[in-house]
Amino acid sequence: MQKDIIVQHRDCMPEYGMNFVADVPTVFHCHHFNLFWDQTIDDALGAELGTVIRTNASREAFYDLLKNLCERVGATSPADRIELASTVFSAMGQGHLTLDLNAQGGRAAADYLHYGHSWKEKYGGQVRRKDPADAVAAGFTAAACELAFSLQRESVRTREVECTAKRDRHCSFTSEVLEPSPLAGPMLRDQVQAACRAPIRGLMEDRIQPIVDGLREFTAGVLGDERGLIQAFGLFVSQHPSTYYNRSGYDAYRHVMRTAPQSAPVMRQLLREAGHVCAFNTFGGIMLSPEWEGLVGTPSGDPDETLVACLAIARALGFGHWAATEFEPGRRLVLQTPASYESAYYVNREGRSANAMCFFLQGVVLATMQLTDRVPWAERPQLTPQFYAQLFKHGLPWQAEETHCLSRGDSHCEVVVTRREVQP
Amino acid sequence: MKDDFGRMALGAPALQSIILVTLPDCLLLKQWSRDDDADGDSAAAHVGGAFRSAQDALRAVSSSKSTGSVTIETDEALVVISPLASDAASGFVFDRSAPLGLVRVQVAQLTEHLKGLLQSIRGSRDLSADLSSPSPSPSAPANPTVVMASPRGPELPQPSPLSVAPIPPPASTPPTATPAPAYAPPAPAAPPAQTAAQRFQASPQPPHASSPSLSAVDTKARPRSVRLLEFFRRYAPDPHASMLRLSLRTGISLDQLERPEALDEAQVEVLAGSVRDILGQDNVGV
Repeated sequence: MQKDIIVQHRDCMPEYGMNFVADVPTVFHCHHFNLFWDQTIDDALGAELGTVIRTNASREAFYDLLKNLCERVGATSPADRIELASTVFSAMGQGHLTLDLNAQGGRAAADYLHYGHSWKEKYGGQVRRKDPADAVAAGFTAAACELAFSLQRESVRTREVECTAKRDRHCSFTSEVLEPSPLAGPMLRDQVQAACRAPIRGLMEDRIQPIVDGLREFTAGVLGDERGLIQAFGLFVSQHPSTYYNRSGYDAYRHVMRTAPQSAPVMRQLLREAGHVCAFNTFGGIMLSPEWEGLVGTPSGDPDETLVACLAIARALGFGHWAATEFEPGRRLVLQTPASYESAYYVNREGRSANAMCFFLQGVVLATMQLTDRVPWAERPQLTPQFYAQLFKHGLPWQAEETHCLSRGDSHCEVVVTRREVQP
Repeated sequence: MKDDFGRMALGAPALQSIILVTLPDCLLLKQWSRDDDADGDSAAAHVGGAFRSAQDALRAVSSSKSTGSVTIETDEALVVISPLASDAASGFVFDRSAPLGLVRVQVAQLTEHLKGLLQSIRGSRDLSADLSSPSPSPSAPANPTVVMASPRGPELPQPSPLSVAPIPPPASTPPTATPAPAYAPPAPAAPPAQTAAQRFQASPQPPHASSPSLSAVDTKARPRSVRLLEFFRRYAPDPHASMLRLSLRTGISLDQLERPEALDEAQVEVLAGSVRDILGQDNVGV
């Protein structure tokens, strides 16, 4: 089976900046964001519970995706479904999984997985990891087993027993069938569409849209390499069902609110920081890539141009139809979107909140201001951890507030970035 | 001390820098470098870390408990890290063109003199009291493990003069009757205006939020919570987010983490566990 089988099942709602694979909402994210997101959940809950929550989120999200794909391509036998699963996993940049599954569970193995490999690349020389890193692959394996052998949903538990991030030679997983756990309602294209309100037009739309179109054309054909990894823009990129991030993040946050509410502000701050990490590395990596140069040109450092780039990239990656409604370079940025991938999930799954809940959005918009003002693009800087740390060394001169959010009943999501009154 | 190191380097032209670090905290005690822009704190962290890792490796592959020097060879440099005591080590960075045998001889000489200097400082009870605060702290140990001299510190006992590899005095140094520092040649070369303690206190360092004042380095006297956080800040990945992570893991607020000396015993234990977990260490040794 060819990996490009996934290409014809990728589509989007362009007016809302939402991407899908077989009607399952998806986003592209880089390994910096993915590792930081998972790390925050584990910091909040501990590695054991964090791994369970992340694995369950992955299992649910990928089950829907695999089920829809199997139906579309007519994969009905266990062998066909397992082959499809392994192919799709690689195509999405998650790694190369060998699935040896049966109706009782079974095993899986991998030499390269997005999380374990990129963790080892980024942190392996600095930190000795003790817990496995590949909850996404574990959840995916469980979903593939449930689907291939027509087992009850949420009934297969998969654990990673070896992990390259722990300096094992390869990653391996074992699966078993247990009592199924409860399942929340669906989170598919229809639910996303129902959450999205009227499209929003912002500043410089005529400059943004052509770039979005070009990037969409590029990302539609992006596939994992022979390792099952997508290595581009100086990053490891992967396509995830957004439900993975949303369910894992909000489940973990709810747990913190229940058990250690005093830590909730810190967790929110770290989830925002994940967005900041994402924008710096992904937006920056794309803008400094040869592909970007071919599509748009060399970044000049003009703040308007940088803002246009950030908004276009966000839309193309599936973060939402981000529109800047006010922009004073270095001073103020107001960004609106008819929905974010977070709020579209939240209103469907979590109901109404008293507070704005798009933590990732808040972080990325703050970072967007940073990218328009403090990065010398014309000098083609190296986006190294040292550069990142240098930008943070004396704090940020801005603050971000989500002033409107679907999650609390507003008509759209809006983040306002302003200068801090007292400079850090 | 920087000047003294510089004179020491005159006898070892291939020597590029010297980094004195505390163990296990890996804090910078003193640094000399031909490159004025060198980041001493970072170098100290890595030199100390490399030495600790080498010790761990030795324990893992050998029953030997003795601690020798660690030698790192690259295309550009030859680095030797020598233990000075159980709580201090020195890294010597040589140009790669230097013959290994000569480097070993020079490292042995320099190490002995640095040991002597450390011992001298250790032996000065008055000095340690003077370093901790204007008046001796009742909680401070009488004989701290490693101390740094303040600019107003008293004269140190004089260590023995360097017996090999004569090092000429700097041209600008006026003659004096003041005895020479440990590693200097006999009398005429000794600079007169500074005490040995002043020289050891060395060149001014830029303020660094994550490192203690050099004059305050006293690894055993400071609270464990303070040392834990210094260690953590030095080694934690993603430094901009490290304190947030620690707060989320421990449930200790950021405000409390800003005043680690006020943490109670139970909080310090939780803190230590989280530091170990984030750094992936079984034992951080602090």
